[in-house]
Amino acid sequence: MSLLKTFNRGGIHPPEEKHSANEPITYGTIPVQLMIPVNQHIGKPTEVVAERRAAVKRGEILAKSTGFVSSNVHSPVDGVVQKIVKFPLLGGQISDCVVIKPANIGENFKDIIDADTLNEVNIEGFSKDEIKSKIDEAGIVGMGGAGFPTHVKLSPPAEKPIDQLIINGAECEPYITSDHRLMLQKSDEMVKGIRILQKLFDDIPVTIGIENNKPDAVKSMTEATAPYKNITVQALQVKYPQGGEKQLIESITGREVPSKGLPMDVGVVVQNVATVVAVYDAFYYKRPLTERVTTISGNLVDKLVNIVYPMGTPVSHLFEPHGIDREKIRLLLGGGPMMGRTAFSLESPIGKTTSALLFFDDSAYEAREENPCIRCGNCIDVCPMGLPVAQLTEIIQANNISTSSKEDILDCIECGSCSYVCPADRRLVEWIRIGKNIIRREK
Amino acid sequence: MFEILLPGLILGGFALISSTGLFFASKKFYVEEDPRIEKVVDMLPGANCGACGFAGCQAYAENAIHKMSLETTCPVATEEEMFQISEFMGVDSGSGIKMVSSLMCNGTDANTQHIAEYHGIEDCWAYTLIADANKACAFACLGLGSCVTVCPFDAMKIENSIVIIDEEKCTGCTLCIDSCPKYILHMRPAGKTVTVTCFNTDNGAMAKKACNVACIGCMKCEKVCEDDAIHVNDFLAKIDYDKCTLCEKCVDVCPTDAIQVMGGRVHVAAENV
Amino acid sequence: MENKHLLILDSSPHGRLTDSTKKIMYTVTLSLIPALAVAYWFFGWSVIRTVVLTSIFTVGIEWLIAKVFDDKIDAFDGSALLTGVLLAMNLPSNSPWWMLFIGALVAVVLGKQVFGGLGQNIFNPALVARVFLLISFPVAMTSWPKPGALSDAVTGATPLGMLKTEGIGAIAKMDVMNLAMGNMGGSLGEISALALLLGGIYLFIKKYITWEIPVLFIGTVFVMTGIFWLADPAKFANPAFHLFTGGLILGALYMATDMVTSPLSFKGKLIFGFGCGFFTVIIRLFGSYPEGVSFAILLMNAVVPLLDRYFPDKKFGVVKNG
Ligand code: SF4
Ligand code: SF4
Ligand code: SF4
Ligand code: SF4
Repeated sequence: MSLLKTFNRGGIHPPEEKHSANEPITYGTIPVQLMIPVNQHIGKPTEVVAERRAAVKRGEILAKSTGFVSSNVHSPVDGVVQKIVKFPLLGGQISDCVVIKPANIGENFKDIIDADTLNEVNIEGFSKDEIKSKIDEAGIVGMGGAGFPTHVKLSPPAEKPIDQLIINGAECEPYITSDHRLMLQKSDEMVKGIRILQKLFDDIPVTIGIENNKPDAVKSMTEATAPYKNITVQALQVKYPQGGEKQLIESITGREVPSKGLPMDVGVVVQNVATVVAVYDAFYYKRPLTERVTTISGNLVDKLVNIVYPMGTPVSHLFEPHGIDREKIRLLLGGGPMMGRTAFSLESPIGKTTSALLFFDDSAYEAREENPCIRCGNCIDVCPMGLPVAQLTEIIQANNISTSSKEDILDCIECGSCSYVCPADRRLVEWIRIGKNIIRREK
Repeated sequence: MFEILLPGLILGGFALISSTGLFFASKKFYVEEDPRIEKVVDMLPGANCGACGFAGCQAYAENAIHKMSLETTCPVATEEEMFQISEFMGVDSGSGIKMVSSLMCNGTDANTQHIAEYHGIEDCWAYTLIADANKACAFACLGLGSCVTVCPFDAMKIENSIVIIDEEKCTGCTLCIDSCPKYILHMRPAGKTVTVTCFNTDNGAMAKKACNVACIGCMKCEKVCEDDAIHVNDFLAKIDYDKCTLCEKCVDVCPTDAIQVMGGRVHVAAENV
Repeated sequence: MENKHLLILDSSPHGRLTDSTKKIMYTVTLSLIPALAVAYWFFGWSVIRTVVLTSIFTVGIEWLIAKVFDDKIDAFDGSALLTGVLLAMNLPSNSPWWMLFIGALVAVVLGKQVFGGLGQNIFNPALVARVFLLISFPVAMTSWPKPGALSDAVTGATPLGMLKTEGIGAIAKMDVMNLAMGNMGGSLGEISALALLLGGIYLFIKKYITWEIPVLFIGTVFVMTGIFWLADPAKFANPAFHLFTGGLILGALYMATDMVTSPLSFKGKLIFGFGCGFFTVIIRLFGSYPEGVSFAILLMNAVVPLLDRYFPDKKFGVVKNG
């Protein structure tokens, strides 16, 4: 293996806290009620097709994509649609959810999944468009975080030739281990998924980037990819945000995605490992994306797990099986501590992008007051985008955003490194987000 | 001597550079100004709030003189003031009903509950980047005062987690309207004090569960109104101020007190008669 | 949706490094202890008196300002204390108490609070005070206690002062090692470059200062004075002499690197360091004051906003590559 690669600018080393790394993927029970958010992607809202009191089958479409940048939502179980209500999601948004009463309440979800039939698939038999439309139909979105529809990412315009595919297995966020487990337990499936994506771009080289704190994942992926010359595994230095798309591309290829640009501007397409497994499932099991591996962790969780629940499972359903004291929960994070969002309802449902659910009590949270910037420069040193964070946030706070600073503000990837290191506890990312919001409103 | 001179030299140098800069700038950008512009500026209230859509009173006056029109009125000026300006310019003054801002929410701490403990930046937009609602009613005023910050006339304040607007101080500049991420500030004619203090379009049962004083869309007000001035759409009553005669009958019948008279009732409540 | 207790809503990231403004300020203050110890060794109790008095004055004045004007100011965040200690190190240890008080007043009020408090000041507060005192009380500020003197009765000029007034002959006998150890007349902190260096290295390891400014500052002084010395050793002192006298080390390690008043960007820091060194040498060699460090740093402080603006760090993805 070659030298550990990494990105150049900035980065931090938060405590890794990956205590659940050795817990194999398990399956949860089916709750009494599923609340399935109808919009789990970035882009045009879907059109709800589920009807009240109608029976639905596993894999049936509940909400239909309404355009190219939109994504289907399917039912994970057989059941009956009860109603469609507005409900708070893990990210704090309030959005329409299809409420389903499952047919097999209390059963282990594994039985349902195992009932899906495995098909032999000859990828060569699919045209590129067929592959993309299959991915589109399966409602696959980027499962690493933002939830951008995968088929869109896989369709760069002709004038942007792609010569490198990167599979993001960095998983640089503390606590989260769901991708790690996938790479260990589903490495062969993943390779098959990669082969499908590779077909789209005429067998271009593929690199799987994995942070070096997962040597077992590096090993298992290296073994699984051994038969394929142009699929390689690259161990990466442990540094947050290694899994940031632009950082990962720089680490692996040395190319810098231009400001305001996309990975395809430097000939790269990046996909998350969980997404690749979802692509595999869509082809080999004809299974749309209706479940995912979620890491359940945090200081309130007795039994840490990497577990698969049907999408739409409310958080409260997890208290019993994982020994979480409901009364003590003060901080509920959907995602990791660096970029995850706080939820305000304990009934919020698990969705396609919920890579982790972290439960913390009071002791894990310390309210800190903002102090004046002492110009220590830490934020600028750690910013992986090389932004003058201290100055940017000051002009945002003064509501004095100039045209030149606008570009900088929009370049922020919201990794949170700056806030993490600021000795004055300035809420730097938060100010930048406010700045982005102001710019967006002006448009 | 050098060191004593040094600070003097630096300061002097700065002063010199900036004054020459200013001098040239004023030369370069000097334009012959229509003397009427200054007159109009003098007649304007001079709040420089930009609510008219121009960059301050000067820009407004320039536009008015150049176009010789008062099509855009100054929202802050009184009818009287606008009339004077129109007399001076010899053009029609725009219509000048004084409007004030009005909050369509009564979700005080007593009427609805907070659903989370927020620790972020005290700003309504900042809040919406973290969650869509902070009270049981998702339509409610967040009470973090983004509107209070933009109001140039000190007409707003936060009390019991909602905004209170001082109708006397409000000039109707409309700046607060767009500053609210919940879009619950609306303009109404000054003096038309009967207002629906709710923006919840959920059905009656849900609205009632969320807030004690929510409009539940029961239509009682619509039926009692003799002037056809109040209508319920999407479970929410809305008043047509062109028709409302301030009879306050709707206020009497509303079962949830979702219709309020700002600044106190003028008519005595029916049950007290 | 009813929760018995409310969940916390906050913006990511949901964890912070434990560093704080307080910690940084107190650590920097602590790192001055070796230098203070050396000063104590040479000057005795008056050192402690001066340091304690100025610290009490600066913190006290800041506390008063906080009480009267703005309760958001935290007088005990360590920044006032640090200013106090640094100010003390820039003054003769036998300064009268009222001079210390005036210095503290100028530092906290004119140097810091008029700009809007911590983080907003353009000039290093301790240096503002020092220059103010230097201009107002030139005599008191240039008669320094001699090392080992027990009272303030015996005073003399600093090596640089001697160089200025008496010419190169006066310093010919001085031993560079002695200067480095601090065995010379001077302000508290001008003496003992080695002890200061120790503190500086500690700060460097703690990442509270970066190498750019001190290295460029000291390097520039060394090289420039070296050039003059080589050109005419009879007229100019040798670079080692310049290195260890006149608070250069204190200035380069502690005053110029003050976070608030130094540039944020890498290039900015390089230019800042070089500028400090350049002006120090110019003033020392050609100005009428023997000592140029304070003026040079203040001068460069003034251009920090420009440096930050015109020499920003390279951003990600700004240079296109194929
Ligand atoms: S959140 Fe934005 S500004 Fe802060 S370190 Fe990350 S990219 Fe830079
Ligand atoms: S890390 Fe905080 S204190 Fe340091 S420069 Fe950035 S904003 Fe200022
Ligand atoms: S409340 Fe204030 S901002 Fe809103 S219209 Fe009235 S004066 Fe303008
Ligand atoms: S009215 Fe709108 S802007 Fe004002 S406090 Fe309420 S939510 Fe915020």
